Amino acid sequence: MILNDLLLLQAPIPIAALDRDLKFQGFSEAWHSQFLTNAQDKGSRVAAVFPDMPEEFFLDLSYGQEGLERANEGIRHQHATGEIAWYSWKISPLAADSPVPGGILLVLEDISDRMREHDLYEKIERVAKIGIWEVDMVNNKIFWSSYLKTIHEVPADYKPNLEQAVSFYKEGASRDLVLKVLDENVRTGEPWDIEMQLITAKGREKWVRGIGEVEMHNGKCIRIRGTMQDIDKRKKASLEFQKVSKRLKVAKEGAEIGIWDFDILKKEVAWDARMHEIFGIEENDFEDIFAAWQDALHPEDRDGIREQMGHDLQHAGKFQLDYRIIRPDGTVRWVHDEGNIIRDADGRPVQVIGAAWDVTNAKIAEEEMKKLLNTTVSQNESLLNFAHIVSHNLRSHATNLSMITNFLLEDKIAESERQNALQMLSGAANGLNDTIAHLNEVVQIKTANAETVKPINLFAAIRKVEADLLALLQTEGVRLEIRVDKGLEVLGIPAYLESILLNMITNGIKYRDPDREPFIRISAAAENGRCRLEFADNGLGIDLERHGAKLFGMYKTFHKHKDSRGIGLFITKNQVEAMGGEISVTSQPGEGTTFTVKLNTTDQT
Amino acid sequence: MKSIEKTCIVDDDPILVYGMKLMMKQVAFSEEVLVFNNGQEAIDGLLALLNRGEALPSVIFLDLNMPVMDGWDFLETFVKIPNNNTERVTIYVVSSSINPADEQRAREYEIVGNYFVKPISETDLTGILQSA
Repeated sequence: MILNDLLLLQAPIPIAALDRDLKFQGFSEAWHSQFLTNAQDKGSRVAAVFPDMPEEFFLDLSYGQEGLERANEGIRHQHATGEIAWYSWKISPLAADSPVPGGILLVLEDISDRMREHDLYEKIERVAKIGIWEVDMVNNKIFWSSYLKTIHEVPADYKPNLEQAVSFYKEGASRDLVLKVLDENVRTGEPWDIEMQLITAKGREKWVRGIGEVEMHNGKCIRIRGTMQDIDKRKKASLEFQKVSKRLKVAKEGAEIGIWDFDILKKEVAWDARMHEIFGIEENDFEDIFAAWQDALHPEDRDGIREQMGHDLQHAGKFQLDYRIIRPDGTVRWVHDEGNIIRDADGRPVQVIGAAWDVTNAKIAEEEMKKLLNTTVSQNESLLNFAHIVSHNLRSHATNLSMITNFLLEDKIAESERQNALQMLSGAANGLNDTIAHLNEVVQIKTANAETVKPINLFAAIRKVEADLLALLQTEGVRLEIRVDKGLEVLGIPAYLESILLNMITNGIKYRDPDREPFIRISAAAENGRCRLEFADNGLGIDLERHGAKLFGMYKTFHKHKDSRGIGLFITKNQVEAMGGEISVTSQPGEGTTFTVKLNTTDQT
Repeated sequence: MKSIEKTCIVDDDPILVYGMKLMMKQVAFSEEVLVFNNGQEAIDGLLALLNRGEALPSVIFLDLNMPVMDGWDFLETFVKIPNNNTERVTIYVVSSSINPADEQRAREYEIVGNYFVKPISETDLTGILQSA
């Protein structure tokens, strides 16, 4: 056959010769194997053998009949069966002197397999947000995949060069990093995996991850290729997270806040390092942090905490607690604890996440402030009291003086009365003098400070006062019982303590009941870092309902007694308070009186 | 000006009592003057008068700051004595206290006619006589 002389039909590609009526005149072997045709199809029309082909194919064939060359690099076609296929073809008119004059040489390929792969690969690019690039260092040619162009936000027909490619990276750290990689790794052949920012053609900043490798030949780089992944969202989220956690860390460390997490269902607690520091517990010392926490709670606070936590877990969204802990070294600290309670769909608490910090200093400051406020209020009261007393007492003597002198000056007093009036005048002057002496005594009581207070043996102090008063006690027949531990020490000002003891004992003697065998019993006991000192007598007693409020006031007397001055208890109270103590009284008229003085001791905590 | 039949001084200060008695004599204030050293003595003495069927003094000079029972407690106790015995009695508070709170508190008692800061003067006494 002449046709077989067409050398082209020997080629290992699917090729066929058609006559001007588009009837098959000859095939290559590759044609038969690709399209499962055979030699018997010779003479059949193309449309008869391939009825189900893209329209473009038949259109191009008709162009071929007109003597035009046509080609298609690949077209997608859905067959009537639903199957998808890709075809590429090339149509070349044959010369008039060829074995098939006016005929057509047709190369037709089913490229479905290849195209499917390509399609898949583009899909992968898009889904993974990965673009591919390659630089041919020998010919200085650069290839960007379509998704790489999407990343850069350049049009699909964009033709990059190396310089432009680099200029997309953000000036500064990102571009420097890329240039360094291009310089160093291209020399060494080392692969790289870096993260940097680029600025797209539309001016948007974007984080990308670049992985690249170098192809070397004879110690020279001939090609580099790699991938670029759009990691913008992930990177920004991660950077934001880093920023937030860094801020949180700084805040947490600055405020010395400990964080804890309590899994209620598993009864498991997790503590951060700061929590351990607050509680003075070494990490890993305890397997069961929950138990360690419960053990650390101050016994006096334990029940209250349990009760409140139980209540809040049932009813609240969060809880706030202030409680004391005892650290392993024995120190007591105040802790402020706050937790957020997380509940399941049924509202059952499942987890609590909380923060705790040491508020001991704030608590101490608060206590100090309260104490200071109380002191200020009481000092203010006594100052006001003092001002009234000064005014009242000085006035009463002064008016007496002026009244009597006026009588004398105006000669209103009969000669016989004169001596009497002069005695009155002298009495008023003495009274004024006494009052000034009392006021002076009161003014001299100053609040004790660390320098003026010292440890005083209570028993020795009592014995000294007893010796001073021995004559009086014996004359008046008052029995003094001392029930005080010889080792007990109080912290105070010796002169004040002596004055207090003297005043308490003489009061007991003064207001004894003449119908009873009088006694004064002094007892003392240490109690919570303080000394509780009691003076009990079986004397006249005081009606506290009537006089209680005024008992410790200045110039208040409640008995008709020649020595009642109304100054002793006032001074005693001031001296007790000046040493940081307290004084109180219980009494029954006709039965006796007990004064209780609380003083600081040396073993204060 | 007619003298008051019976006057009472309740004060623990003997000098003041001496001075007041002297002044009363000068202005012929009263025919009879009773003196009590504190509120309790005054209450006891006044109740004794009533028990003997005698009249209460129509003027009582009352000090505030006294031992055993002070002027305030005296006032509280005195106003509890049945009305028909006390309605003709006027109490004058005579005190060294210039604390306005004391004067205000004293004036809250209906029975208190006036509040004098010591020393009381002859003019004050004649003023009381005129208003009686």
